Amino acid sequence: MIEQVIQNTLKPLTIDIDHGTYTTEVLAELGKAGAYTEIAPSVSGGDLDLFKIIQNMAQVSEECMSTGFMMWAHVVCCWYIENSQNDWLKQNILPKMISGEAFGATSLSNPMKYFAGIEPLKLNAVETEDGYIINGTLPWVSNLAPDSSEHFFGSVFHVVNEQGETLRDVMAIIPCDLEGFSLKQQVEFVGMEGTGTYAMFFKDAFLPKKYLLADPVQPYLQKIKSGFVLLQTGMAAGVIQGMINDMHKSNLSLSAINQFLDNKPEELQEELDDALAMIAKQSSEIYTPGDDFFRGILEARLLGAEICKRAADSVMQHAGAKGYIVDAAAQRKWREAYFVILVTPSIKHLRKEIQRLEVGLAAA
Amino acid sequence: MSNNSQEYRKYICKVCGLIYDEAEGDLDSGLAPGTRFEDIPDDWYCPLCLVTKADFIPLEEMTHAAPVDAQATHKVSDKSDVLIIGSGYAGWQVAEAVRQEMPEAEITLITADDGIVYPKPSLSMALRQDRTAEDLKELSAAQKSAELNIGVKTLTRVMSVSQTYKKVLTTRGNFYYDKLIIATGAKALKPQIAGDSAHEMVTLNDLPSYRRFRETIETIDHITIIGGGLIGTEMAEDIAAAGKSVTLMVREDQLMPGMLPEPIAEDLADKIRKQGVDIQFGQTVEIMNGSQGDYQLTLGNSETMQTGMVLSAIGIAPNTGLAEKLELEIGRGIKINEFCQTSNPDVYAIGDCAESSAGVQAFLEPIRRQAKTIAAHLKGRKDLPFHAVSPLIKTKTSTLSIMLSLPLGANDQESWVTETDIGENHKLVYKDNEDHLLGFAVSGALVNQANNLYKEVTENAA
Repeated sequence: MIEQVIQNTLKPLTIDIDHGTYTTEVLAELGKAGAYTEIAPSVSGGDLDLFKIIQNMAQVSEECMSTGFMMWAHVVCCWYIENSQNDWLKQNILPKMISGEAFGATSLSNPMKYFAGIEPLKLNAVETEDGYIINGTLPWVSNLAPDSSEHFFGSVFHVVNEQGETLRDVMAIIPCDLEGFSLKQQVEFVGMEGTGTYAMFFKDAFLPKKYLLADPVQPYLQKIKSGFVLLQTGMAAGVIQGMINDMHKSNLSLSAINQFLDNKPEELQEELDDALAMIAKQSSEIYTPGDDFFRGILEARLLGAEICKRAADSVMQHAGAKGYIVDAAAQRKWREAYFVILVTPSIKHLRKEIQRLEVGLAAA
Repeated sequence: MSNNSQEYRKYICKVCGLIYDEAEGDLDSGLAPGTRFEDIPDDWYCPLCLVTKADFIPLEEMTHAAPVDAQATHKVSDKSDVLIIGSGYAGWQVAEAVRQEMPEAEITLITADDGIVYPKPSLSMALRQDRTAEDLKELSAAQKSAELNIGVKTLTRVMSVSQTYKKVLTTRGNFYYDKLIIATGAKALKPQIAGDSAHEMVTLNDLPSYRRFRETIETIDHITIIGGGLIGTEMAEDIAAAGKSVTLMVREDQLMPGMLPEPIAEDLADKIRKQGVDIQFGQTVEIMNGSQGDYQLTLGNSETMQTGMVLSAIGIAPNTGLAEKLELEIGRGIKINEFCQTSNPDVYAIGDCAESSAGVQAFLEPIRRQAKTIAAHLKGRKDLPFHAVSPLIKTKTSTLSIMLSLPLGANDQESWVTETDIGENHKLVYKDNEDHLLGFAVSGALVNQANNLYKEVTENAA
């Protein structure tokens, strides 16, 4: 079913998406095909199967990682709701997201950097009896559409008093059609353009409390963080597989000369398969508490980025000048792969965090 | 007490960091205060790690060996003749031995932690000596790699290893090898217990965990240690000596069961209790709730108690994950032959992760000989096989001196025969049917007999 969506709906759109077309069509079709089912036992009545979701995301990313990334944003938003105590969200929003009628996103890049001590949290809210009045701006959040009643994203903000002092942090789902909330497309990226990526502005935007995910936020974050990070490996696995496929394709005509290259497709395939075996195991124990387990998750994510780095170089070299042509799969995947390397958590961010967990010291 | 005209000097054990102070001597092995280093008999053992006199250097030379600003000078190659995984004592020892034997070889050491060189046995005494993790550091990984002229990759975890391509896959790229040496050590085990904060139980098995432990313990008054073996007992004494209140939970009914004869274990328990340690025999922790500094424990007898920290010292398990990936033969540890080769001739294993014909031996003593065996074998020499011997053990319990040597594989209480039993001074021996001494345990003043007894044991073993 998912393969049909990829072949029939996604494949004809891949190049347009790379050029900047944002569409919810593929995400909707994937929902109908059941690609998100295993993330939400509360909706499906079945079991949680994170690895199945990661595999689905990898399958999609193999063709188009922009779509794989939107799928990640979508399922991670489902993950937030599924792990909350909020029955209203579980009954009214989550089922629509699972079936592909509503779309999810996440603005946790800034909060993740905030919790890692890299940058301050950028959203503040004053609490009222039945909600929060939010102010602030966030750059670069994806899988959004202006004024859409079908788009939702998870966010963390400071609750402040009237003097602006932080009282605590909370996490909530925010609908894109909230009054006082607006989106603006500010920059153009070299890749991943068709992902509905915007800067967001909150100006006295009132969010009713029924959207609350967690208050206090810390115990909840401890619960969701491993899943949040591990789900990203679906993108890495998919784009690596896509690059390996492209190398094999190049080798049909260039194998005699490509034998002089490092990072051959067979070797990368073995690395990817090893990584996936590890990710499968981690997926099945995703709620394991403690630093040791989370460090393993960060290492899996880091490994994905490291293999991406080598595969991105190798796919270009295997393709040769043909890979340098506009819209060649090799250079599109090379640009997509760099997203895995750079986006939160980036290789440098992961190394900093792993060092802290490994030797009990922050990076110098 | 020879020449008194000269100032007393200090010598440091290169292996474990123990300092021999001529002014103090080493009463346990019969060296009176004032005994000059050169007057110590050659068969004297380091009272801590039991290497010989030859491994001691003047203290001031030790500081010369650690140039503070040394940078790694050897570029890390992605293709090595010899690739070592792990930077514990075993990893660095084998790096040193291989470099000595093969001056031209491209050697690379990969480690998941920061690779700091430190004396591991000191972890059991560091708290009462008020030494921080930084104090225990002898050399940084960069300094040691410069000294050995090898490539070192720190904070790099080996995620997988490929037999086909003879390479390891890490979080910082791929590294290819001709020969691989696994020195991944052992992980400290934790008991399976229930409760919301069971995962916050700590272990103390390396320098990073000691660094975290030191930081945490500042604000904590009461510590619960689970496990009454050698390490748990040493830790309990050390932490109590540092002024903290300690409860030691021992599942069995004596300290160091299977190792220490009962009469000595009883005296030791009495002395540790007098130091303020609350020892609970036959006791387990079943549930752990609460948060750091304020945990609630439910015990095996359903009683509850409050504690600030729970430290597990129930034992260690060899790290065999990579060996599994390489489909090596594994028992409790990675099986090695007399040349420390695993079932794959290109792969060696050394130290706590390895299992020789005598089993897994988690002591320093075999590591040094294993390192030399591996280095010689890599050079094509088969004249230096490794044979396990029963080590001489000295517990780091300051309330009662204890030295013992157990026959390899023995762990029964019945075969001990008491020879001397005066107060805290015990001597028990372990003999075969023909009256050959195979093992012994001595305590109190009688530890001064240990060296001679050990000589007899090793002669009988040979």
